[in-house]
Amino acid sequence: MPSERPDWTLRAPPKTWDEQLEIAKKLTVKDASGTVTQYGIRIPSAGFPSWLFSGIVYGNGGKITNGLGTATFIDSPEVIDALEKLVALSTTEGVMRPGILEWGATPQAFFEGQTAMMWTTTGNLTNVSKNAPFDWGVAMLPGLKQNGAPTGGGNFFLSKDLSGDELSATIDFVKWISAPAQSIAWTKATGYVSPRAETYETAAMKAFLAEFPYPIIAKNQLQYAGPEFSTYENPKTVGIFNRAIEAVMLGEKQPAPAMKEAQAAIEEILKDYR
Amino acid sequence: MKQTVSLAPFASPFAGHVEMSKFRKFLPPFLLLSPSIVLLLTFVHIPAIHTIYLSFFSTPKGRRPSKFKGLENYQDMIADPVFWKVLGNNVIYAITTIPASIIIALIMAQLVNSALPGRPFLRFSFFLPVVLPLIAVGNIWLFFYLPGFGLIDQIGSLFGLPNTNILGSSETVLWGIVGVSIWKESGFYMIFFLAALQGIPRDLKEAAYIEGASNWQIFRRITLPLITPTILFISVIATINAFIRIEHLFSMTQGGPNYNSALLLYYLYENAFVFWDTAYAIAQSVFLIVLLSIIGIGQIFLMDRRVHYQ
Repeated sequence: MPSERPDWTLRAPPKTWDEQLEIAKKLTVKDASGTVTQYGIRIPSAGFPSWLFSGIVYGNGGKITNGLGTATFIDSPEVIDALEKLVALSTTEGVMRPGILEWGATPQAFFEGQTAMMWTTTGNLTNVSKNAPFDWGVAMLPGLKQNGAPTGGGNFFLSKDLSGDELSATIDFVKWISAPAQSIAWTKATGYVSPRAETYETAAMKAFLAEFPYPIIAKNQLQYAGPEFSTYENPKTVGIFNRAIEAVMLGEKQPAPAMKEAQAAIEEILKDYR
Repeated sequence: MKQTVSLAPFASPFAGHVEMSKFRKFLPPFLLLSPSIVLLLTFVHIPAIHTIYLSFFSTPKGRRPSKFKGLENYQDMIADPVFWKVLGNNVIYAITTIPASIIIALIMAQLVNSALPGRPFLRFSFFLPVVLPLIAVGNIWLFFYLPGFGLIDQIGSLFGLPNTNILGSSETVLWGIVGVSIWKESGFYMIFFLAALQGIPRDLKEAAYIEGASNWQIFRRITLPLITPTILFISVIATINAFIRIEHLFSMTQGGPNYNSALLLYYLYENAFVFWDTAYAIAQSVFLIVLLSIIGIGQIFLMDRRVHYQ
């Protein structure tokens, strides 16, 4: 979710990556000595940069995995191009603070006027609505070629060994926790997307959205979203992907060799699972 | 006489026989030590030896049970560039944090040992970091280091310095961690130095004053030689700490970005409990045990010749 500071951007948020870059340039403010006092944009990257990055890849018409967990495509031209565009924000374009950027400090940087726009999790919506000391807005993630977004969240796993009372109790619990009543409370408190579509049809949710419409943008963006990176031995493979993105963002490696190297390392792990 | 009394309960009809007298000599201390020997064997030595044994096997995964791999885990370790990177980080971390925290601790101990006004307050403030859990210290420093509005950038901006991104750049992140460690550990070592300084007999210094020795001469010729056992003790503890204290990494950087702040034990933890590659983690554990044993024993041998025990 990019959120923006007021001015004219509130009325016309960027729809494409190029528009975003153009606005970010206009919103990057420097003082007399040339030090940047307000960056145009901030895309947090600490720990798991691959998550928001996969949204940029989907917006570039690319894919990161085959959906079966047995292959990744992170050395594809769409991924490498997306990474080049992301890194350019803090290098050649100078509209984003260089280096790795913390998630936790991102809303704070927005409130303090250190960044004019930010990409962050929908789970920050309520936080921003309560704490931003100015008028602000929400828009879908601007894509390089098309709309695109990552998806997040957690999963409930049902063990195949469950049976009888245990199984029905587990199913009851999963139904209960994802039911509209619980989801609405969750969405109100955080801004997160409710997992079931029916929740958005309830009177309570409609009343909430009539008052605070921004959460619906994230829900509507889901049609352009792609799945989160997920393969066999996921902690290891996604770790390789994350570290490779970090190496590029830190300026230690170039996008193409870093992604090719990471793809080869992941291939080495996944070949046993095909 | 004393010995005969203590051995009395173990006296045997074969008393006087050479073998038996040896047996009688060793049995009581052995019996007295046996509870701790049993505990140490059960919880330290046997698991350590078992770890070495396990390091020759592969990680069991789902359908595939563990199988003998010989030295393959160690070969993987040698071929792993990340392992060398984190080992290098750890060496830099150790050779900067240890001397720095020892020197600062000694200066602080000298300060709070002298008759300064507000001494209790100074002692308290120097000791404060010690009582904080390292993971909380990490969180505090995370806010100090925040780019733009963290304490360091706020102070820097008063002097017109540019903003920093200490934990977000490969050149500076390890130094950020080193700083936290020095801040945290110095107060702890200060306590040992303070005890050692207070144990130095006052008449030695008074005699030196009468002879016309300067403060520096007193420190160099009297204080320093008399606290060398403490320096040895602290340097052993500090070396071990440099390899085993990693809690701040969890709250600050998770070893990142791109392993630039990862230390050996953190990488070991990641392999064991994030990647679940337990066999590889075990091989690294063996490496760590051997490394620490060599450093620990080496330090004691090397410094023993220069240490003056009173």
